[in-house]
Amino acid sequence: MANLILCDPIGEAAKTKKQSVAIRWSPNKRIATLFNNHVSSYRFWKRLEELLKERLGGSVVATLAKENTFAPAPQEMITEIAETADLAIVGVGA
Amino acid sequence: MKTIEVSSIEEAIERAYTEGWTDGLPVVPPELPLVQKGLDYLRVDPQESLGVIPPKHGLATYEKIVTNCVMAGCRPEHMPVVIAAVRAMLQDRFSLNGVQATTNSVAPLVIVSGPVVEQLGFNSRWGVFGGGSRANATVGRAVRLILWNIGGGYPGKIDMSTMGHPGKYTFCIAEDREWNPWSPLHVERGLAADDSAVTVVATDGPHQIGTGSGYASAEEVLAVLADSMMTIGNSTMNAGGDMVLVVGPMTARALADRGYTKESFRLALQERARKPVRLVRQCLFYQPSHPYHWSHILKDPTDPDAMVPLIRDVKQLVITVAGGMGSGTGFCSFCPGWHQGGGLACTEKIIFPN
Repeated sequence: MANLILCDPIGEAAKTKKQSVAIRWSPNKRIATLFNNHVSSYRFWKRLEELLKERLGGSVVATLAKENTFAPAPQEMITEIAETADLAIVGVGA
Repeated sequence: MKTIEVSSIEEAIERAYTEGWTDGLPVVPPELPLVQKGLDYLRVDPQESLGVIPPKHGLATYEKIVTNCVMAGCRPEHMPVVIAAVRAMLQDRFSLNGVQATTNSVAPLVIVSGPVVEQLGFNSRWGVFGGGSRANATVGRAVRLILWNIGGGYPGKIDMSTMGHPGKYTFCIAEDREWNPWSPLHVERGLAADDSAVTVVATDGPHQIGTGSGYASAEEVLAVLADSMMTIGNSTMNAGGDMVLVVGPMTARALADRGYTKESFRLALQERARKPVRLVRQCLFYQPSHPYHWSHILKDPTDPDAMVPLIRDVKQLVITVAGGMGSGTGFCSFCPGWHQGGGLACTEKIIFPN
């Protein structure tokens, strides 16, 4: 019997232009938080925001939340963060 | 095209497991001549992509789609149906990334409607959710293998569904054309009556409802359906979104004979499928501060007697007619959806090659 040639069904990952950039922390950095509104993370996220404000005070310049956990943040939200903050903490929960 | 060479059918079947190409069920070995036959039928560029399947963000090229269709057991003529389903799942409002990754148990339910149902032998009658039809079984299976192999929906790794459901192996039904007394699903969703289409909705598994429509009044049928649909732990009751009611042909006929159109049927269910706040608030699945929580749609959510509707907007209730005739029990099936942010009904026309 001749050999069988099988085609690989696994999809090649799409190439992305996104690059991770290391953020160097300093006390004068402006921080935004962007919660994804996942149902399981309300308590965690609330506490995280409290701790950030408690420990970093005025550095926290915006606390935002997406309406739809599973969709990308609306452009206006991303623009707001980009204009007001140096870094954003995003997520989380499943 | 990446290929693997094996020396026997047995080795091919086992290799599919060791390569991680299947979720547990054996697959048809995706031999090159079978894949080529599918591509020749479709007359497409194998490297053209329909988009990116999340969460792994694999490219849904025709080559990969056809390969997965072959593994599922599809004949070439089934492949345009699968392609329409993939296009529908890639619509933004379906939010496939979330459907694939959520801890919820939803899976994309594929509903086929139009002349293709008879042309390709889809089962729209007895055992519509079960076995008995190659078209239903293989189209649903191909969709799952695509979500697995291109999208990376691996349980416990990317697919975090805590319960899952059997529809994660194959989940495809067809609307019955002859026994549907109302307008076809795809016509309601903007296509022509002689078009064939696929509608996808992310849903729980089907919950059977015995309506007794062979003996009962329309009011009794509506009461049974409404009560069976509005359980307080289901996602749709808590957070809205689209849901599917598969109306058995006896029940559809009974309602149509009593003057119900699909529109008036929807309104009647919306009016009846409501539960008081004092019961619904016992479920803390969604927190009241969540934007989808039912409390946001009530004037006074603190009033224990205020009524929470399951169907927030009548357009969210997808109705299709399918299933077999029975003795008068008038079985129907309800599939709760995910929530108002995703898994929403998306329809695509099936386009066959010229």
